[in-house]
Amino acid sequence: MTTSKKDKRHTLSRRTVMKGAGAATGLAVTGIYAPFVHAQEKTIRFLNGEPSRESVRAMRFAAAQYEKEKGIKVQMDTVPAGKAYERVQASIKGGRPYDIATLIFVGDVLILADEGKLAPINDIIKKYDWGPKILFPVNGDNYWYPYDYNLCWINFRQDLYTAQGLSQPTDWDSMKANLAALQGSGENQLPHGIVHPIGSNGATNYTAFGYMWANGVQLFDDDWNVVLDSADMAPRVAEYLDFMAGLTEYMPPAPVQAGWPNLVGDFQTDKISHTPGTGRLIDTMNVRMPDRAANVGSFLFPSMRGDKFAVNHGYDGWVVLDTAMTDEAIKFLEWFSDEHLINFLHTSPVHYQPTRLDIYEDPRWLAHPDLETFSHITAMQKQVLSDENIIIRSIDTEGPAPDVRAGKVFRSYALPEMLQNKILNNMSNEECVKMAADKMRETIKT
Amino acid sequence: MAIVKLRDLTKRFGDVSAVESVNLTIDDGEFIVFVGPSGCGKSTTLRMVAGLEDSTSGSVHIGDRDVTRLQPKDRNVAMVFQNYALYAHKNVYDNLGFGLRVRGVPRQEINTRVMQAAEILGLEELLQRKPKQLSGGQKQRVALGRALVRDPDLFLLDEPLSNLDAKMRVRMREEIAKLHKATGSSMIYVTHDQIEAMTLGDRIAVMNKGRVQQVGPPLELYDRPANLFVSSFIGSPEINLFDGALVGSANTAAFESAGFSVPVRAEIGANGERGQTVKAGIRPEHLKIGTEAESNLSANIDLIEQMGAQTLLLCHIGSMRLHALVDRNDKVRIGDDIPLRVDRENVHVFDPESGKSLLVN
Amino acid sequence: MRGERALYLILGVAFALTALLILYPAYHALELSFQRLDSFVSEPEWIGLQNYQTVLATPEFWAAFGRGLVFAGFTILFQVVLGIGFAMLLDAHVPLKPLVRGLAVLPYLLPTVIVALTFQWMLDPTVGVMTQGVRLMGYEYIPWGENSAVAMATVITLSVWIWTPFVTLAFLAGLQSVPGELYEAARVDGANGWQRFWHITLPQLRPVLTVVILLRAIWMFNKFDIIWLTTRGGPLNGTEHLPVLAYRKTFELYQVGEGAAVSAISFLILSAVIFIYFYAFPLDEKEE
Repeated sequence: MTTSKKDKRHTLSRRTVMKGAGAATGLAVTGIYAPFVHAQEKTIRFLNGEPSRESVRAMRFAAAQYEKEKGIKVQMDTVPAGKAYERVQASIKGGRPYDIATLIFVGDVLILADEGKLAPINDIIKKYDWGPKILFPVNGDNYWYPYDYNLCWINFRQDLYTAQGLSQPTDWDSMKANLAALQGSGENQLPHGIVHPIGSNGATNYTAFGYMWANGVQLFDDDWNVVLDSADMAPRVAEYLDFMAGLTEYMPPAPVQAGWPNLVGDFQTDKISHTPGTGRLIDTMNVRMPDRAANVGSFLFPSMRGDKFAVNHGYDGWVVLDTAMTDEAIKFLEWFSDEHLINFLHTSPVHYQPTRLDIYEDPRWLAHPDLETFSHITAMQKQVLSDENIIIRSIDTEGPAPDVRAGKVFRSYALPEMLQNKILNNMSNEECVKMAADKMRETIKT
Repeated sequence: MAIVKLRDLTKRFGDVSAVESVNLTIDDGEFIVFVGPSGCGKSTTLRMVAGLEDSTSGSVHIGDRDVTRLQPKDRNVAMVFQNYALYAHKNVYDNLGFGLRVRGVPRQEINTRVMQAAEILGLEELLQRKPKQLSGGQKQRVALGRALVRDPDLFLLDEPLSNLDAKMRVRMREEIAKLHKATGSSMIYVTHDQIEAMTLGDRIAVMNKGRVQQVGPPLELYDRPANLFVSSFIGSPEINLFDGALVGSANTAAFESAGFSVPVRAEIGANGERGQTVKAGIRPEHLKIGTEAESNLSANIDLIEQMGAQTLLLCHIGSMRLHALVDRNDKVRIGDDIPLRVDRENVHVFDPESGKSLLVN
Repeated sequence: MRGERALYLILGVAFALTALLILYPAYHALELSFQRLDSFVSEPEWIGLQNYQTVLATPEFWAAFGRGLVFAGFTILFQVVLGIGFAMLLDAHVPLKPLVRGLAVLPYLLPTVIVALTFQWMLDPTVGVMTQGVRLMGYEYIPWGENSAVAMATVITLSVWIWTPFVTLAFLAGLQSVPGELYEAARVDGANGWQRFWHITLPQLRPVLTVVILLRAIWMFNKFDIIWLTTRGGPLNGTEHLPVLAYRKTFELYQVGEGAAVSAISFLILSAVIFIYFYAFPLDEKEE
């Protein structure tokens, strides 16, 4: 089925390209210089979605190495990860698709794969041993090379915990007790406990629902029916909503306006003792204030009763597009994967949690001193991959299989709206859940 | 209806004096014209009467009210502007009624008064038109009508005809004169045109450099100009001025200049000193072609302008140039020497220093 | 002859540019609105008016349309009222006139992004100058981003702040052309300040007013950046108007066709309104 569909696409693609070239006159620059760049053989165009200085440098270094070794130029373009999908679409419409691109959203990958814009990379994927829940195969084909897990957990001030003799929370009550103990104007206290964005934005989708996952909530059943408001799930969601409403007591005012900058900034400026996030926080602090980075502890999102834990799934990866350079691009990706991926991961060592199990044993990876310094974090990361009681879940990866429907729910902000209805509008739990479930059904209706 | 009194009315802009101590009483129903060259202060005086300009000192009384510090709307005056100042978006009817409407006059009465004014000014057919659909003359009539409906104590007209062409100006002049007769209102009319001033005014106030030079009925100004400025401003073509000296006395008093001598009135001889250096003024129309015997002076013709009923001669006596406006004469030729005479009543003599006429002491 | 050729050349270039940069993209957007599309690179499926039917049947469309009217309506109202007020103030005798006039135009010169960010900082719930100021005055914290009505009022205020100078400038220019004699005539006729404004200033500004309202209506109805940068249409869609809805459908919800349909409907509504407006207030009749 997929193959025949794809074959049809191939015959169509030239026409589409012609049409696309016309369309691209709007995106004039690309369109105009396209013809003579086409003439330049053997250039792989790589859209990098990790704009940090170190990461860009590592990618450029790899590209230079590759050109030296294989005589094939790899051109690195970098955009913020959130803009990558738009850029990829523009590049396809402009008739000059990137050969490799970063994508951070499984829905985007599925759309492109479904449209026959991607090339499968099964042979590379087969070579390695992968962690759980990180490959998103489409009809048995892998189009996606994930390079990090990007999990979200809760970072906290270990120094304050130690000073106050607190231990890591294991359920919601103990977490609240810790927040309460650390909030105030006394010694070893900070003005607020934690920040959780609740607005209709990506930060909320990514950082606010860990507790709900830990509480065993699923969004869909095996047939893509929305079960959020089912008899089984609704009470757990209600518990979660009550918990979040209670957490606002420990948050700075107006969580609906909070975003990525607050998550990092409020923590670094001693406004809050806890913040949801990834190892990125630790890597960043480690550059400028290593003493304080060493004081950061991490724990997983607890459940209400302390029986389960969860992390919110993040994942980032690369896709190879269906272009004239596809074969060369796959070769490069394989080479990069063996020779340079670890260098790249080392540009933010705590943050970039490896997706391949072999890397955890690789002496080259282990050689980075930060991994020793922050072994308490990396140990937790490893535990996530093996512990049955730890749930890896996110809105956009929910459901029985990777599917764009989950992505639509993610971007409909039905779940952040559920939080807003609870916290800002004081709606009843039943109403909040019902509205969210209905919006999800409306969103995935085709 | 009211008597208007201006007392020591003065306006200064910083150090510049625009109007200096104007004293004037305008009788009930009188039509008075302020005339003078541009910048003489006539418009500023008018605007101070209207209340559009604050006076630096002095006072304005209308009737028994001191209006010096009152707003324009509280002075019960109406004003007609040079550029008509019609409300462009309102039709003629609404333009006429505006002043009544904003004062809260009942609709019925507005209608009556607007229709009356329209009838007087012949605007009945134009009531629904917008200003841009009117000719200049019609616009000015609307502006007059707007003043008329208000039934003000005093009409103020600021160069109302200067935007009209020559023909229309003559017609409107007549209309304004008729309007004044019909209403019997007091009017102050500002113009730079001495013919308008002469034809319209019951009295004329000639102004120059912020001061009133002379006030009087038109012919008095013409016949007995108080000073050099008035003598040359009133009258057209302009008066001929000669430098010379006063000779003789009483009945033999005369003005003597290089090349000629003319007799002057006895009062002048009495008021002046013998041998005093003076300027004499003789209006061109008072020079007549006489016989050799009765002539006072002989001039040589440089240029002849035939004007129909009259002939204007441009002549010289020695180095002095003069105009003579004589009855139609087809016989004169350029280069002719002609004998001219003038009656002693028509010789005006001024002190060259003060400019004052020697006729009044 | 040569001048004529140059003229055609210039016209030709202008037309080509218009076609390339305006007509083609507009045509393309219209085309998209008749297709079922998950992304810009999807294989389009022609579905006729189905996107329009779907969009028009959803309450969120009409809610967004209504919010657009509220946003544009109030913004224009305040811009015009304040614009006339400021223009009259600046037209009067103020000390340091050129400086004051320059300063008054300043907000218009600032990039929207800067204004949006600055206001976000000022309204920050913890450290914002406004938050602190309100607190110092003894009032409660204003939930500007948490309550739909307050958020709408905030974006309206911001838009008024940024774009009123444009309106002020237009009116200031208009005021220069009002003959002073008219005011004097009205003063003598007995009109007070308010009557002079109503009977002279306003009618004289009418041509400017007509154009300004038209321009502001087009701009405000299509205004995307200020809302997107400050509230992203939130909270709970409280400031989501048609442009934001179109953007979210197109770039976030994998509904490119429906997003294009929203844009097309918005365009049609605006065009209809403009035609009616031109009919009701013809521009060429400066003084009726």
